[in-house]
Amino acid sequence: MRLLAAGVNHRTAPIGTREKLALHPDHQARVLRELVELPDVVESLILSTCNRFELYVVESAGRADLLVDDLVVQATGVEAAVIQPHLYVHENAEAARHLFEVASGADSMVLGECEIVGQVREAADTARGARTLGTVLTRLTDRALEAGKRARTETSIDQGCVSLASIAVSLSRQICGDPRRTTVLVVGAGETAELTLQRLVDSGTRKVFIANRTLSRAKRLAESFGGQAIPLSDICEAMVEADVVIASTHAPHPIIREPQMRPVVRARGARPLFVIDLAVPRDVDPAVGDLENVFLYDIDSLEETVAGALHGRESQLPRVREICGEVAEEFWTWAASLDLVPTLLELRERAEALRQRELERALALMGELTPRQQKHLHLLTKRMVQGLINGPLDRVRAKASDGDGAAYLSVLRELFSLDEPSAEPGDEAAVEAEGDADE
Amino acid sequence: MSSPPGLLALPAAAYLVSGVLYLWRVLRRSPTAGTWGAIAALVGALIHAGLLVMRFAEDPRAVAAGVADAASAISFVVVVCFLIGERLLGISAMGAAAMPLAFGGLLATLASPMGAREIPEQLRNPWFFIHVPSALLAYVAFAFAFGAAALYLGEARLLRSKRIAAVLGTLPPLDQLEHLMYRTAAFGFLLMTVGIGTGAVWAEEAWHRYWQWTPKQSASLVTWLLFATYLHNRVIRGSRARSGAWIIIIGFLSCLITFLAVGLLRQDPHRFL
Repeated sequence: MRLLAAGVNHRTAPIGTREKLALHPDHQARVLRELVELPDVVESLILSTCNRFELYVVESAGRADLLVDDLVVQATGVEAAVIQPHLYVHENAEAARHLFEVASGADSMVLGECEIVGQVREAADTARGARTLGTVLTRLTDRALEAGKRARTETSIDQGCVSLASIAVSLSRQICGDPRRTTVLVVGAGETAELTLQRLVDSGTRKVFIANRTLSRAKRLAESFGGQAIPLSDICEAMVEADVVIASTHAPHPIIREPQMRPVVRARGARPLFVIDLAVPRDVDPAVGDLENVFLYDIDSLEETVAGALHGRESQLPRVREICGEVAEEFWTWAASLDLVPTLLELRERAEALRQRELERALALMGELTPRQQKHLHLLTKRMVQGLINGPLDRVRAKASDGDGAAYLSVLRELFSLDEPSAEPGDEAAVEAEGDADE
Repeated sequence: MSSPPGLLALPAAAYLVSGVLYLWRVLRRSPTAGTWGAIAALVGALIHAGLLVMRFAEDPRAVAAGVADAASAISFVVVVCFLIGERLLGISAMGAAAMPLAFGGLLATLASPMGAREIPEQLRNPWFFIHVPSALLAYVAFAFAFGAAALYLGEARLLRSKRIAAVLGTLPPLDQLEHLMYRTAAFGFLLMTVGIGTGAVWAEEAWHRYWQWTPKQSASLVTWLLFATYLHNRVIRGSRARSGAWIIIIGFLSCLITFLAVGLLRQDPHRFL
């Protein structure tokens, strides 16, 4: 059995490549099923987020010629030449460790971010729904969530503010005070703007204005946030009332300029105005930030802040990796012995059957025994059998987690002739004769 | 019954420790330092309260007998108001301004002669109980307006230069500071108006003139005008906060001059305070 992982992430591939690999959630189940229909592939899992595409499969036959690269190509339908240069591949314990590091946020763009935990859980749910999650991957995803939790509780990798949206919310609280008295104006509506607005509304915003070039979209957004849609031409009036302005249009030139802001600032009196410019190219003329009582943050200064807030998180990485290594080792010891389980069981059953048979025979020959004597004979035989086989079996298990499982397995089956029909009648006769001779 | 003035060194030391801890809290972003700062302030205030009771139990008018006693009383009120404000508004960062000010007040007390304990005959007048408390409380209010203004300017500067980590979770929201600045200044202005008004009436009774341009009167008038300008700009013209904060800072300095420099001038008929 092999656990294979392959994928691309924000470090190995530019967004243009990642976009191509991104798998629509509706298609995931179908792709997962197609994968397990391949020969020897027994389990599959896909983790597809905006920062990564990763494929995890369990292969049962130990075939070295099964290349996970090909599986990625098949799963995504993207040409091998496009993917190959960006692809990383991990196997067995390393593959497990990789997923654990991903889940603990050590592999994320924003170190320690928590969203990834939900994404791993969702990926597992999708695979479970598609019935491609077997014993190994179920345990793997459970352990990944556990590693993610341990990393966040035992280290401070998730300490401080993280996402751009949460920084924006903290800042708005810092500048404008009580969020329940805060009015927000959103100009244009990108994804981050919407996320930021969501966070602000969650913290109890008093009022929301939404301005957009197309009023219908503004109206739709306004409905979902309980706000008021206004045309772009009215933003100056709205800015007099607003405390927080989030700009994220696709306009090629600034739409909020310094001259038009002067009267706005004057009309606002002593109240501070927090302007968040999430647009690239920028929506707000930088000169607006020089006006009194206006605090202008563009995407760069916010991202610097995020990076600043994260400063010190890198120091937690070695400890997080250590935790992931520990969990991965433990996981792999378990997973590697999975192949041995049938053989070990068979061996134990054989030994037990032999013991029972011989015991019955001996008891029959010995005539009347007290229950105490019978009990001790039972214990004696049991201890002998266990004493003989337990040690070697443990050692085989240990070898399996080092990767030598297959070789030891075949030797074990050969030595104990497990692949031949058991307990030939001739054997029994021989044993009997031996026993008689001893007597 | 009175207490040896040297004992005031105890609360002074406690306020100093507390001020350093609050400064540490703001600069090093350590909430624990804030907790210890509050404990030190509380301990200092309790000792201070005991000493004040011992000194003024006989005659509360002694509070106006000289700069030393008045400064001690003002420091005490500043600390108590801060501790209450910290509980109610969560403005721990104000400790970095309030506690050093309280320490400075006690230092002035310790440095100036406690002198004779006799209370000038002129103070035996019913106006005392309006004029003196309103003037002293106005100083306390201005001290808080000053603290809020200083924090406001510092925080606005940090936010402008995007040094957010130094601000988040350490300083109160900018808007809250602006409101605090405005309210304390307005409250102080009101008290000072009462103080100057009653002072004029009392002066007419005592010296037969409402206003005689003594250094004390002139200085208080300057302070009063500065705060009047701030409030006028804030309320009528809707001025921006930064310029207002600077006026408040100058106003408080003028208030300090009114209180200390002129209070120590011997020629002033207002010399007892």
